[in-house]
Amino acid sequence: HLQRLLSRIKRDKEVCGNHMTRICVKLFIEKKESSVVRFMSDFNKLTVSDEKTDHVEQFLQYLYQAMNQDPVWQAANECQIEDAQLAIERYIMSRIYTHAMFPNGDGDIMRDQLFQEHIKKLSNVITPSHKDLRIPRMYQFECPWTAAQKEIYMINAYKTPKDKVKCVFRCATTIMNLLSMANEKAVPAADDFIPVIIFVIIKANPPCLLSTIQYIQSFYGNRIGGEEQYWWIQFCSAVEFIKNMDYNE
Amino acid sequence: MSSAKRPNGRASGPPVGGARNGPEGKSKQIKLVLLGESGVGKSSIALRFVRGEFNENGEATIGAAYLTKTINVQNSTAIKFDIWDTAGQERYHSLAPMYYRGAPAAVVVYDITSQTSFSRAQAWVKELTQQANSQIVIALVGNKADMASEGRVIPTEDGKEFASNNGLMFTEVSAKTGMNVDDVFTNLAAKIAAQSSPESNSTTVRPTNVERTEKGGCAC
Repeated sequence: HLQRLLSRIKRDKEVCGNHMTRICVKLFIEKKESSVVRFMSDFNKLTVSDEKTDHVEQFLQYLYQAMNQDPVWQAANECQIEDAQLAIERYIMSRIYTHAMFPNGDGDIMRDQLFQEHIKKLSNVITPSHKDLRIPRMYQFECPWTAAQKEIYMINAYKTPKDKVKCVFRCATTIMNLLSMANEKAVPAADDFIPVIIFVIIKANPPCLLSTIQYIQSFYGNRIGGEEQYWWIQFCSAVEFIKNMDYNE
Repeated sequence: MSSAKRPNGRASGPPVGGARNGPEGKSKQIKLVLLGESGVGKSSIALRFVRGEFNENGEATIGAAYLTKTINVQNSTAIKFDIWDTAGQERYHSLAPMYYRGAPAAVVVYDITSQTSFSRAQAWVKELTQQANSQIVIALVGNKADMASEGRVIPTEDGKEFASNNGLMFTEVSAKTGMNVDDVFTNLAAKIAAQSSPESNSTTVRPTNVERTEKGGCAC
């Protein structure tokens, strides 16, 4: 009982700590508001995506550096600084989100809508044993993998590319967990995973998929690595496959 | 191809996934893609290499899609393999380039009891030599060698010949017994280490973004 109480207090402490960091970040950014505004107008003028990426990167580094010199942050420990940097990135990305996500404005939005329509039509004909999937019977018990669908559907709620990739990662590990529970004899691998993620994406049909992929490739593409990169590529290739699917049963 | 030099090698060692033996020497991260028809046992080979067992319910690994393992090569370099499993079904073939793009190593697997899997492996090798990174090191692997006496369809010579004609490494293995599995990866690691040791830093591990120092600390 005491232990539970203790862990609850610990969690409360964490939440409070996080919240304080966030408030401090907010105050910090308010001081920098003029440079944020300048950054945003510069950003909106840029057209080449490389330049945009560099610009964001530079501005973030500038803010991190400025934070190091700010008296409020002198006493902060590493963990707090890390949290704060994450908060700054989230804040900045949400300020430029629309422009970064849809660099071609309505064109991008239209394209996403078309793709979503396409998936909607696929969703009417798709089944786990569809010719393009052929998910083995033993894996079909968890169908339609609702937990994974929920994860991926949330992707637009996250603003930074890092958080979006984490969302994809969670969706993928959810699927792998469900698959490994369904089959006690073998460990699921790529052969088993790909058809399921395709099915999950089609059923969840999150909006703005194509723009999301472009956004992550340009703002996170060269920082992504390891296991995160693997699941990210799995996700992209599933979307690529969906692009070319037709509506035959 | 002496059979079963070290049936179980160093395998049973570290538990799941990221086994870092972290020596002080330089460590290289190498992305390795597994290609081959569905059912030839690509992921079993990787699992066997990483965990040293076949299908027995040991420590739960939730998946064999992405695995890592570090091995040491003679000249104190550590090679950390990032093993990427790919879907082998023909219908997903067109997606393969997304996986092998930029990969410095590939293992192409076939099943010695299946003619079609060997033809598919040959097609993979052709595709890799034409389209992948020109520096790529490819190992051709015939799996299910434990079934040689009952069901062999592809003679060892055929595999060997195809491999030598195309400059590949070649091994027959059994993911089930563990035979030769470690050799595939140690040989690959040795070749990669040898390839990059004459100070050709072209095989950069990964562009981890080096922090760019801020230039104009504008007035604020």
